[in-house]
Order: sequence, then C-alpha cells, then structure tokens
Amino acid sequence: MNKILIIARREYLAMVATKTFLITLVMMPVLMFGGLILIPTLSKITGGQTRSIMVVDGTGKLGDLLKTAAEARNKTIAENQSARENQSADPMNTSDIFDLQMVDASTFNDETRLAWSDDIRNGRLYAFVEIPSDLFSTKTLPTTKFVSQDSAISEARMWMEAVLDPLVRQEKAKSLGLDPQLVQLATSPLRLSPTMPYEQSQTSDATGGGITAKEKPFDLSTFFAPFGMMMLMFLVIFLAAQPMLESAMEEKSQRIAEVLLGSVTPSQLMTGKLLGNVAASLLVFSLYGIGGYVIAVRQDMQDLIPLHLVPWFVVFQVLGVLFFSSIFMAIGASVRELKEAQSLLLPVWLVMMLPMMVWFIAVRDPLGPVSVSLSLFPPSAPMMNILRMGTGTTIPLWQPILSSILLGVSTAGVIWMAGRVYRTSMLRNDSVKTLAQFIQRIAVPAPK
Amino acid sequence: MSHTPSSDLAVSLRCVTKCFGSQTAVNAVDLEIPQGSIHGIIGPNGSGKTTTLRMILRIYRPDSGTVTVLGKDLGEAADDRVGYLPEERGLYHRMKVRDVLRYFAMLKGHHRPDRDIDRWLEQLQATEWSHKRIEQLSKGMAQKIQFIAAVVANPRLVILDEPFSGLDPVNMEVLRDAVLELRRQGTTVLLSTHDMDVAEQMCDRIFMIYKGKKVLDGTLQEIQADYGEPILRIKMAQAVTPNFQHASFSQLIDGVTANGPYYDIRLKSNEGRYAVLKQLVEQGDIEHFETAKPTLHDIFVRIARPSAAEDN
Repeated sequence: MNKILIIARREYLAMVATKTFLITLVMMPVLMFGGLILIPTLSKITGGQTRSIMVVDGTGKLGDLLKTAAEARNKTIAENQSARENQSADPMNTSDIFDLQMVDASTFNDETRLAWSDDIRNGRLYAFVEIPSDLFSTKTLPTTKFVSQDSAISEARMWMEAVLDPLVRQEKAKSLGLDPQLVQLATSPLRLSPTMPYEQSQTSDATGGGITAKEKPFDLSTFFAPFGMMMLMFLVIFLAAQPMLESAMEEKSQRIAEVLLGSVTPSQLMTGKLLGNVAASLLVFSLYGIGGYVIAVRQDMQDLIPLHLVPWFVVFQVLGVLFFSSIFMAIGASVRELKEAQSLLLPVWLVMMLPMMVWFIAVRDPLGPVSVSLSLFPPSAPMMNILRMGTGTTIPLWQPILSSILLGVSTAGVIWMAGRVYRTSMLRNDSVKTLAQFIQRIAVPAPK
Repeated sequence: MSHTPSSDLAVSLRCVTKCFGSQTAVNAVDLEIPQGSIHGIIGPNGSGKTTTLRMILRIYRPDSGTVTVLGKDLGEAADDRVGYLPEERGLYHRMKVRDVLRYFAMLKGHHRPDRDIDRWLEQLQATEWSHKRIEQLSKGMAQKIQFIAAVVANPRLVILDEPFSGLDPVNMEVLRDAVLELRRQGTTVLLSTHDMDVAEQMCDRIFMIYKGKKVLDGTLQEIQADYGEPILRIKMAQAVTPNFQHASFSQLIDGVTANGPYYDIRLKSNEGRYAVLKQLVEQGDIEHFETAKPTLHDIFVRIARPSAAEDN
C-alpha cells in the first residue's frame, strides 16, 4: 500500500475510532441546537398550571364569551393529550389552564385595583383584566389592561388578546351598521406572497398559460434551514481540524515525527494526514446528513432538505477542511502544549466564526454586498456559500464557481505555507509564542 | 583510521558539515561504519550526535560532504532499510501495541508484518501486552515496544538512541541480547549512548563527536592505546586518606577520581607511577595497587571536562 494511504488510514482511524469523536459527534449538535429542543421541553415542565384571572367587563358583552372560549380551551387541553403535546411543541404555548372569574364592573374601583395587585404580588391571583365600558366606541381608542407580574409575551395575555380582537372588531362593525364579514375582508392586511421566478411548466394548462412559479415558504424554516446548513459545515470543519492540532502536537512532543520522517518525506506525511482528515470529515457529513434526513422524513419535513446542494456542500467542505486543517496542523507542530496554541488559534477562530456573526444579514439579503463578498473571501467561503444557497435564493452560478476556485487556490497556498512551518517546527523542541514568530517560520525555509 | 572498502560499509560520511544559521552543528566529520558491526556514537549533549543521526536517517541533508547509507547516496526519499529508535519516546500513546507495530512496519514497506511482530514480542517477553494501549505500558515495556518498532521491518541498519534507558537490569539484559542477535544476523547497529559501560561492552567501534567535530573513532583498544596514559588504581589501608594536594604530586598526576575505597590516579606519564607510589607509601600502607588502561568514561571526561569548565 502506498505510504501516503497508510498514513491516511491511521489518521482516519485515530480520528473516528475514539470515544472522544463519538461524544463530540453527539454533543456538538446538542450544544448548538439544544435550545430548540430545550425550550419546548422546559415549557412542558413549567406548563399545565391553573391561572386565576379576574375579568372586569365594562361592556357587559365580552365576559361570557371570554369564559366560554377559556372553558373550551381548557376542555381541549384536558381531554386531548395528543393535542396538548402538539401545543407543547410550540415554545410560546405552555398549555396553562385559565380559570376566569367575572366581576361586576360597578363594584370595581381603585381600592379593588390595589387589593388585587397585592394578591398578584403574593401569588394568590395570576392577573386581572380591565375591559373599559367604551371599548366599542368608534370615536376613541380606549385601553384594555391586562395586569400581571408575568412577561408581556405571556401565554395568557396573548391568548386573551387573540380572542378579544375579532370580537371587538365585530361589535364595532355592528355599531356602525356594517356587515362584520365585509369589514373583515376590507381590513385584511395585504400579504406580498414570496414567489420564485416563473418557469415554463412541462404540462401547460388553461389557467396557468404554461408557466409556473413556486411559492417560497415564509416561516421559521426560512431562517433556520440555511442556518442549520451553515452550522453543519462549521461542525464538519471543526471536528476535522481540531484533531489535526492534537495529532501534530503529539507527534512533535513524543518525537514520533522523527520516526515517521525516517520512513517518509514531510510531504508524504502531511498529505497522508490531510487525506485521512478529509475522509473523516466526509464521514461526519454523511452521519449528520443521513441523520438529519431521517429525522426530517419522520417529521414529514423532507422538503426542507435541499438535496441538490449536496455536491456543492461536499466541494466546499473538502476545501474548507483542507484549508483549516492545514493551519491547525501547522499550529500544532509549532507548540508543545495546548495552552500555547490558544493565542495562535484565536485569529483563526475569529475568521472561522465570521459567517456566524453575519448570518442573519446574509439570510435576509443573500445577494447583498456583505453576503457576496464574504462568500468570495476564502476563509468564510465554505460556510457563507452554503448559507446563501440554503436560503433558496437563485445565486448566480459564477459566484460559487469563482468562490470555489479562489478557495482552492488559497487552500493550495495555505497547505504550502503550513508545510514550511510543519517541516521547520516538527523536529524542534521549542514553542512558537506569538503570531509574529509563527509567520517568521513561514518565511524561513526549513532545514534540509 | 584504516579505510574499509566502500562496498563493506553500512554508513559512510565524508567531510560532512551541517549548519543551522550561524551555528555549525557538525563540522567536516568523517565516519565509516562497517556492515554487520555495532558502532557506538558518544558525545556530550549538544555535541552534534542527533544532527549526525538525522543526516544518516535522511531527515537532514548535509550542507557539504557526502552521506552514503547502505551503498546509496543521500536522496529525497527515506530509506526503508534503516530502522530508528528515538530516545524514550516515539509511540502513539492511544494506539494498541500491535497496531502501532504494524503501522511502523508498513511504513517501512513490510506489508505482512504479523509473523515478525509475534516473533519479536515473544523474544522480548512482551506477547501478553500486544493488545494493550501504549499508555498502559510501563516505561521499560514501552521501550521494548519501541525497539521492536525499529527492527520489525528487518532493516539492514538500525539506529538506536539510548535503547537501554529506563530498563531494569533484567530487561536490559534481554534487550542487549536482542541487539547482539541483530549483529549475528548481519544487521549493522549504530548505538548512541551516554552509558560508557554499554559502549565498552557492546560496541565493535566507538565514535565520539564533540562540538561538532570527531574526536575519537576506533575500537576500544585503539582508543585506549591512542588516547591517554594508563591509570594507577590504588587502595589505601583503612583509616588512611591520601593527600593528593601534596606539592610533590603536582608534577606527576593529572587528576584523581575516587571510586569507593579505590582511587584512580591519572598519571601525566607512565614513568611517574613509581614516584607516585613512593609518595603514597610515605603517607600510609597501600593495600592494593594496579596499573589499568583508562576507561572510556575516563577518556570521555578527559575530553569534555576542560571545555565544560571553560563554558561554566
């Protein structure tokens, strides 16, 4: 077997056949995406409480309707466990039971306000609602108050607002002698439907005139699908590059490099290590990719997985892994301990994290100058290109092609520079302390 | 030094110089290592030993001069016929013994090494450790595995850097036998060591490098004959402590080393031994005396000490 392949095989096995790799493989997505799972879970734990709410209905028309709506909601939650679970999946919905008590508005005064406020502070009461008597007035905009200690985005307040709003609109329309349904139609907000460009359809029909256009989804997936793809790219690169640092450090400090260089040339050694590293990164991508796809299929969300981007993902992943792994390997060869590597790693981490700092801008404006320039900047190209493509926006083909060429050329340069540092540093007993010293090692040729 | 026909040489260095920046690590060194011999390389720390070994291993290229290993001049590629054991370390801690041996053997072009691995593990009494991780081994056991890694691909030249470091006497004996067995099989062994006893007992020839230059090269007998006057070894009667500060000694002796009850007296000339004995008899009874050849240790110290003192 070729010596490069022998080294690549060992490097691959040293990376993937370890407990650390398996633990990191599981823990990294948990740490990064755990919040999305944790919030509904915590909501489930904190939800299900009974909320006592006093309702002072000045209009005399809404109290009973509110109570009926609350009872229907409570009944649904109590009787339908599966419905409850579905509601719990929404982080805004904690499935609390609402116990509404109607209070005669004529007995309500400031003394009552203070007494109930004390009850709220002491936990005896969750909230009280003041519905003013002139709520249906068409000349003024009176304020309806929801008094509580809870957050402004509490489930109870948002639910009550959602129930009251259409009722009040209806009543106002009636008082003006208008048909409530016509009013609802007339006042419905405009929605600009996000749509992909038209294209000629395969089978023309009478209404479509032979052209079709897909409507773009506009929900959380619009943001989180490309973000998820970018994070997948980050995970794959991180999981590949970090072991290269440790591997080079071990070979230097344990004088393994000396033995290896008695058997292979530095170029063979470095090439073999990088090949094994790329192979391990492809395994990581396959595992996450297949795992993500299986989960998406089970959740009936497979449409969110952009399978057509897989070839681009692999191209940028391979180049990105080679780019960052070479740098990590050169740093590992320059130091003896992990703590000595920290100062050298900081600038690399900053560049690596750049797409994460601007991901929101890039998702909102994938064709904007920030997005385009960062996708052409080699260190951020792997994550940025995948992020932009993941938005579903039509990216001009020349951009990812030019980006991959620039990244490829830069990667070749980085490997060459890393090779110089690697050769210079592997057989030395000292450590590089500063970035300037590190750069000096690139400039000074290795002893031959 | 007598020149051996180049076809019989495992290693030949001719006027080899290697510099790192302004520092000359190896300065115009000549060295010939006959095939099938055990050649010791000694020298203080920082004298140029490691650089010399790395040039033979083809990790470094000389700035001038030629390095010929097993008949081939220096090239880009490392030589699969050369095995190397670095001092103490050199193994992947998290790999299992058999895997690491297989890996190093395959890198040397031995693609079916299992039989040789088993043979060496058995010879060095390490078979039961073959499935352990390197990090689980004692220092001595790791050293034995490191030795196997250097020889498992059946190299024709083995470079051993402090192979007996960290070994207890029993394991040292096992490894010493293994090295001698290599020589019997025709393998050339280049042994770098600080242990002068090991060099004296095992090496056919000894090469000493000091401050980048060759200072000794030959058999022990040749070195002893060429370098240094004999030693007068004496043991005084109990309760008698000789006074070597006596003025009469200053013209006769170079220095004295105490070895338990014995004193090794380095004479300025062999002829002075009777005068020294006469002076000592005047100080008290002598229980024992003999003239001895200087040990390698003595010669090493005699070469390295003056400069070390200057450096200090």
